[in-house]
Amino acid sequence: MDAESSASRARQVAAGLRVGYWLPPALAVAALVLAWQVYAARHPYVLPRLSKIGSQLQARPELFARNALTTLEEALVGAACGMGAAFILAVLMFYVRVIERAIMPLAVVLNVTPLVAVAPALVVAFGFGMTPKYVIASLLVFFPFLVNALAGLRAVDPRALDVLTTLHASRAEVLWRLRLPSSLPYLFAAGRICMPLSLIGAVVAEFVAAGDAKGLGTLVVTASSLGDLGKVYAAVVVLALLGVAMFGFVVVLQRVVLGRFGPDDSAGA
Amino acid sequence: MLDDLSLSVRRGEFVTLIGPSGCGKTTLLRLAAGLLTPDCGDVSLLGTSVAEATADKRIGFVPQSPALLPWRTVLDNVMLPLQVNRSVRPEVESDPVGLLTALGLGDALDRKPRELSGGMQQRVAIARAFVFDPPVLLMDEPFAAVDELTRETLRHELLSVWQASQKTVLFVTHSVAEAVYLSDRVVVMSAVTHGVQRVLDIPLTRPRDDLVETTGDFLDLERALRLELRAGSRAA
Repeated sequence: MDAESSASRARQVAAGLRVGYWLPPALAVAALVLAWQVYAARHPYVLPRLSKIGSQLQARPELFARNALTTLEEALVGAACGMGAAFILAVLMFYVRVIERAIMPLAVVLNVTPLVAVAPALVVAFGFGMTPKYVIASLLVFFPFLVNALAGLRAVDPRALDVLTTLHASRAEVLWRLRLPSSLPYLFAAGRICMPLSLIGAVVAEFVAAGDAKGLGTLVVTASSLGDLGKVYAAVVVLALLGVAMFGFVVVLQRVVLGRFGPDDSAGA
Repeated sequence: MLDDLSLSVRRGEFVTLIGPSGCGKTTLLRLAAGLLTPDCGDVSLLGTSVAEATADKRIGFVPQSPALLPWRTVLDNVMLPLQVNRSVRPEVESDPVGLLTALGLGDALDRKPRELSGGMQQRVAIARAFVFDPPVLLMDEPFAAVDELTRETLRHELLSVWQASQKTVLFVTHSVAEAVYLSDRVVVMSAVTHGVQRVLDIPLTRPRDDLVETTGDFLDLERALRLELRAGSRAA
């Protein structure tokens, strides 16, 4: 099994070096860049040239870094609160049917409500500080994490559960020694969905809390109202990088954690 | 599903349940393990109820698949029964390493289940049931998922580990040779009545080793059991 997986890893490396592996995406990126530049040259007020975006980033890196940190904090704190609350609630719902019956319909309604529409009201309620950003980001990640955590808690090997039952293991012991480790792949899959969602939540909250001076979303709004497209797209590029970094963090964490505790360290990787 | 069934097993006895699919042998085993509760009638183990026996960790259960926890090493999987419900019978002297070594897994203690063959995984599941020294073992077709040759080796190993311990065993199987080799008594169950069709005594002397399988007595018993099963399926 070990030899097999290292052989498949070697094959992956070999594939990475083959032209057929990296050429298609490279060509696609090149084509996109070319099309962008051609269009930007004709319509500079619709699309800024890439060089303009680059020079924006180069000219004021501390501006983008500072705002990126604010947005990142909003997204991460929001995601942590939302996922934490969803997980605790999932455990409660799993063990107490009445709670599931009571909460699930509300959670579904929360999920189908466009939270963008609620965001202005939340800003009114919580002011212009960080709080409404945390709240909106956590509301966005809440439902997907709840549903996945519930599925994960149910996804146990029924025969392993039989063994623990004959040992008269307590609920807490079954939760800790069987259900939690079994649910890890589900939790990480949810994490990969929730990280970009929390970033969306943070940016949307910044959009509606105009007048606030911080965050990449705010930067986008103020720059576009001034017609500074270079700055708008520079902020978008930074947001994309943030999204990639958050997603990548979950993937790396998943490899490390599932390698030690998970049902299968190759799950979903 | 089971109807009008009465069966008692003596202490230290190895009893096998055999019969066609749907005869209720697994149901019976799950009743004895407390994984199902009877609609009527009662099940008792060692003079107490099933619930008391499980609460007291007196039942070792080996399911159809090894059902090992994939994130635990072989040794940690075997340690699991010692780690849950810990207040019960803390005086049990256990030797997980010795047990695994006796089952030929001495070199695999730190490996994960997915690195092991099916037969080796099933040995770990057996060690997990023996490690806390329960007086009763319930085994639900534990060798169903491994190939025939491994299966023979496993039943020889099971018997040698069991002979040293003298636990009461209830063992579900589809294999005639397995039933005769392991058992003191074989309970043939019927898919028609969902009850006991016949109980066969296996008077082969103990301790048994793998040579017993080539003796005339063994083959006669195997034939008798096979004919009994055929009579049952013809009735169906």
